[in-house]
Amino acid sequence: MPSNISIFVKKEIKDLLRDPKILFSVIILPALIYIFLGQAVSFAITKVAEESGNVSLIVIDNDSGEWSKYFISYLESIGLPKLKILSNMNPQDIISSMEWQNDYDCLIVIPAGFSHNITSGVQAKVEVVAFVKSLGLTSLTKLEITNRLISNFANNIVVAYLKSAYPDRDIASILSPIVQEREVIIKNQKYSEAFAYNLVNQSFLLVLGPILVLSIVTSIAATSMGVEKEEKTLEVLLSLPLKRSDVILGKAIATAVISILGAISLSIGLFSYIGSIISAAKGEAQLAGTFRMLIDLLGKASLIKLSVGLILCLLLGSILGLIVASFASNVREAQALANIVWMPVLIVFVMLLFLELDAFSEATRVLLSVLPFSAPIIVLKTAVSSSTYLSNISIVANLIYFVIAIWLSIKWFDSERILTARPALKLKRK
Amino acid sequence: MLLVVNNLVKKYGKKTAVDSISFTVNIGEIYGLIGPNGAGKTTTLRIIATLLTPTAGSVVVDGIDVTKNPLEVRRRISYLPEEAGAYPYMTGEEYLVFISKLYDPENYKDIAVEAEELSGLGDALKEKIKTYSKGMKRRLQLARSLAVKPRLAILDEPTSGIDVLYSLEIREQIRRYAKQHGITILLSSHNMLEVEDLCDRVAIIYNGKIIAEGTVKEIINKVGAYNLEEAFARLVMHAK
Repeated sequence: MPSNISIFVKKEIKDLLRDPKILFSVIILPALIYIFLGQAVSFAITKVAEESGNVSLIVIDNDSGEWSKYFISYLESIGLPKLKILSNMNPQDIISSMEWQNDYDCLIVIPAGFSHNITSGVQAKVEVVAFVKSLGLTSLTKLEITNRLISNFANNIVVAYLKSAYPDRDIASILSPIVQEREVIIKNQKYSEAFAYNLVNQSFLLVLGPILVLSIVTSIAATSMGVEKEEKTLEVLLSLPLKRSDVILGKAIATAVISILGAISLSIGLFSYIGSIISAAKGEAQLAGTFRMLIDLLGKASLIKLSVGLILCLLLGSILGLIVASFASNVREAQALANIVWMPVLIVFVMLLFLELDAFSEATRVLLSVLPFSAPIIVLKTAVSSSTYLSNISIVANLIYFVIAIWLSIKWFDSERILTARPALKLKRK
Repeated sequence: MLLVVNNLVKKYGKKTAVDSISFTVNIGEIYGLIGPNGAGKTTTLRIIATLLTPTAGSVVVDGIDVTKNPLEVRRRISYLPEEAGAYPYMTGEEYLVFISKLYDPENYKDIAVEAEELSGLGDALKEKIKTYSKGMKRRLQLARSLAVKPRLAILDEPTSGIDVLYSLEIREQIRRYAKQHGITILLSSHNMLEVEDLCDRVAIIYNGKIIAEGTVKEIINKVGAYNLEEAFARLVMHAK
């Protein structure tokens, strides 16, 4: 009789996809969250960008000198939406008035002696007061804009001084006597620094992907096993003409397929999120270009290794999720137990994420590469280095873990304790 | 003989659930295993269904030892546990097709159609199982257990949760399948009327031991009782 695994896998996929809890939390929600988040952040960025040139200022000129007039002329030349110039006034009258505070964003006080200090080579001072109207991430944006306006004017003063002192010199060469031309070499290819930053940032997203997918897979595997216990279907399932290995592999494959669907949904959401943000910052074309370059840079071999490593880890996570969830008697317990698998995986991922492999000795690098679930990150980390053998070691190690996990799970599912096992850790009630 | 249980022992730690029982069941026979709660009936059925491993003794189904080749045994049996659920997000129809495919990937459609008729669930088969009542789920489970035409059907409380009229119909179906298709039935039940009506032979099990075995008539006559229920009560009281 042929193996019944394909019949079982189809049934499992159909059953899991119909479970509204899984459909909503794994397939629909991740995409929706990031899409909506992207829209919200994009709206916020656009709003901040629109507001960036808009600051309503009150200037109290208590100096009335040559340089305070220059400063006021400079502010008038920018075309601010609201600019109120007052002179010889106590700033406290403005600060204590809610009417002024509602109508303006910032107050600049030019004290007496301002012009004299500048002309005599002494540091001049202005007082800036921001009127915060709400608490939020952008509450102090107006203060930043005001600071920028003052800094620009100060720069203009420096340039004017330098021009008068060194009429024959290039002022830029005085302000920045050394100019850097920075380039980055990756896999014998030359890239601009900005482009390299984009590459590194996006490779982080590629690392984030496996972490998110693995968090999904253990949870789905646990749910699948929890449902068997909760709905009392396990006893019937184990008495059907199915090999134990077919039951385990069938569940693991179905769980991995659903996780990949979840990952696709998550990726759509994530890319929509990033796209919204970049689009708001007018850089969409650059994002797509950089991502294509990243894929080219990794090369076919690394991408294949990445896929193999990810699938191995998915199946490994799924099988371990099934084993721990078999100790549960319902879905809730199963999901709680799934965290036992997920937490060590997270630790391995976070550790590898922040470690630079090149900083370690050869033996330590090999040791890190043979950690369970390390394959996707090791492949990504070594894709552009000469240590690609580490990715091969990592894949082989994880393949061995997968085979061991299958063997252990078959033994476990073959034993009668699968029907009666309960978590051993129980608090004694007094 | 289709089923041979020989000196079967099952221990859970120090507790002996099944204490050296032996019985045989012939092809096409309906054999009843009756006893009070905790007597060892379900443990025995689970061992025969390859779910539990015996501590000692042997169980042979259709010439195959359950511990040596459990998969081959599973291909020859269908097991209906006392509390059997079905996948809540599948329809009844899909569930029957799934089970039928596992037993016979080539002729599964005929088996599924037969199971659908046997269940008597009609249009409800198109609905998801989560909408079914306890009785409907039981009918679905019983239908799948018989329609796959196993060599041995192990039925633990087959009519549990089913109304009187449908219980009568189910008994008739069990009897018909055993006769027409030569299916051997091993059932356990607390319903003495059901056992009296259905079983060719009966074993009364108490404290993990078989305290009486024979046809219903033989057991009743042995203790001089009016019916099986009274015989059962007297035998169990005597064994205490």
